[in-house]
Amino acid sequence: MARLTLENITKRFGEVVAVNELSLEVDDGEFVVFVGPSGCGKSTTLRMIAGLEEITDGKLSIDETVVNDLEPPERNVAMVFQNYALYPHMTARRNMTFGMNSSGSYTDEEIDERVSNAAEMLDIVDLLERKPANLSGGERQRVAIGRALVRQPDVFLLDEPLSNLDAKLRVQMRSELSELHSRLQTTTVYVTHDQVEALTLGDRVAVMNEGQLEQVAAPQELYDFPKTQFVAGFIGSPAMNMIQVNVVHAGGRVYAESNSFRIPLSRADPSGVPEQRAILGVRPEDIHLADELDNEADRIPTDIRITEPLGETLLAYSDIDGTEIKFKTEPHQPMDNQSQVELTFNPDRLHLFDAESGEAIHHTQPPKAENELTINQS
Amino acid sequence: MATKTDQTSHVDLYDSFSNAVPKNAGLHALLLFTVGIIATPLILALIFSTQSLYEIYTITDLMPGSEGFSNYVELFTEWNFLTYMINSFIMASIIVTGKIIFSICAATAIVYYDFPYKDAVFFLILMTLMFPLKIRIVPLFELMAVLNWSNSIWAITIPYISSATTVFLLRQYFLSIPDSYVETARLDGVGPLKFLVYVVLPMAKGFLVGVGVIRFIGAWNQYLWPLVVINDQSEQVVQVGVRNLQQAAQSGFTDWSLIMAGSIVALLPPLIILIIFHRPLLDTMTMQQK
Repeated sequence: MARLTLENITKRFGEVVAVNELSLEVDDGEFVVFVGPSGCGKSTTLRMIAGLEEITDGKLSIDETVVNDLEPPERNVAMVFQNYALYPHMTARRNMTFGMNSSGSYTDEEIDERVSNAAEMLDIVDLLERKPANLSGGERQRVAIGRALVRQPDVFLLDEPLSNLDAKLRVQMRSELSELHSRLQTTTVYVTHDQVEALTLGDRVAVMNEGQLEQVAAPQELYDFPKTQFVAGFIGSPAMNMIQVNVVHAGGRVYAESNSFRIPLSRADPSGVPEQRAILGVRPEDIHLADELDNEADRIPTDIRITEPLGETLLAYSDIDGTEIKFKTEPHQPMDNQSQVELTFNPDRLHLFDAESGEAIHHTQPPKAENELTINQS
Repeated sequence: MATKTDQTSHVDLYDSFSNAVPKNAGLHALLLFTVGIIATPLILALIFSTQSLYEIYTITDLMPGSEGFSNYVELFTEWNFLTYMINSFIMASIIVTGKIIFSICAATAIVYYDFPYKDAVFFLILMTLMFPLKIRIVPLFELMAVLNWSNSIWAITIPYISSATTVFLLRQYFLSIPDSYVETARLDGVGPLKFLVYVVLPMAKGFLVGVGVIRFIGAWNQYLWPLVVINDQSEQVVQVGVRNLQQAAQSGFTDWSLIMAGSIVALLPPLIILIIFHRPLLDTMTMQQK
């Protein structure tokens, strides 16, 4: 059990800045997921926490101890790797005990007890005498997790542990990891490039891009109130639609305006949202086919280019002002390609980003009370 | 059910036969031909080794000769071959063991430790490939004389114990071991030596055996250096021993059948080792090709 504090952590490889002034506090027992595209610095951050990479600049502490200069075993962290890293010539049991045996500070009974506890928890009791070659991908991953568990680490580090598994197994292991964490309540840092994994597992999700921490927030908040255009585009699948607009003021109200539409941003205050070029973000599920109840002025005419039936919904591609727009619609009323439709945007689910910096300017969704502070900061 | 299976297998057999013959006949003939060319000297040597001096000079006589095993017996009774074989075996064993131990240490240092000028050191090791024995033979001979090692087992083993090729091969193998293994060990506080002994070496077992076989054959076939540095016949090795058989001339005719017998005997130990360890050797070769 431990609290993990990262203060202005920086990692440079020669001239290249892999992680830039990252600050984050992971509470005792919290499950934090680092997510981002490859090369964003998420794995480097995890490896710095583990002690496998030196920290160029900044302070890393576990509880009150600064651990920058501590060797990995002195930090009492355990790590699970993407390729499991099970020694092929050792049985599952030996793989789990090798590190403990080597340290010499545990009695045999202690080791046996921990192994059987971990094995029971992970349901691998019958597999302990097998070698990795005779285990399936999922079983290997369990053994690798078991090896980390027996160490009873203060911090649990997982580096894309599910990436080598097939889709079905990944979903199953995901929920098992979640369960395991709620049972053990060990502080956990998890790295993945998969945003679904990030949202489903994390108490909080840290989105990274090009060595920068873009936003840290609870999954739903990240989805509803992305701080930057990058977060908005990265979280959510299919990705949020981004349309170039001009912010204009008229009659004390703020509008997002383009060639084919002019949408009022009802909650925006003209003093807080100045006239400028901006990016309007709308998620695919917040675009609807217009019906007779909709205001004529809010309807945006467009052509359907192609449709993709996804089962529970129909994903349609169209075009507004030269930008590709994806939206989800009712699957049982199939649309013909090239057919003309009118779309409306859900006025409470619009996001406005600065065209240059990509910072969020305004979200039309009213923040929940506890979110008030975070929004104002953005 | 049974009949059906039988029928299928007949059809399969017919299919494979009719497919194999017309399509691959040319290829198989070519393979047979090349295998024949490669095997011919060995088969001839085997035949000649049984012939008498008279028979061997009758060029057309390619039948097994009248001497039978007597040439072989002569090798051991009159030509000191048992001593040669034992010397060769000791020499090859020391060289292989030494090479592997030293190369493991060097490759471990190069792959798993950080030290200044690491790349330069590795480059220097590779550079030694450009100085084969034939270039070093005079200074090496002088060195042996100074050390008073001439004419001893040390002279024919110690100069061979370092091996750039083996260091290079092991380095490549160690580099092919995923970093995450090393890192898992580091997180567990398993030191480099422990990691080497309990993880790397057990994983590299097959590879080491393969390298060992190649090295053993190389060491067994040492000829020039022992010829130069060893004078005493009781310390001499078998390849030089085979050459000594040229002295067995009768009325000006070299006794080729005896030399052939000597060659066959000298060939046997590496052949046996090759047969026993061919599996790991092949694995090693394929790994090198990757």
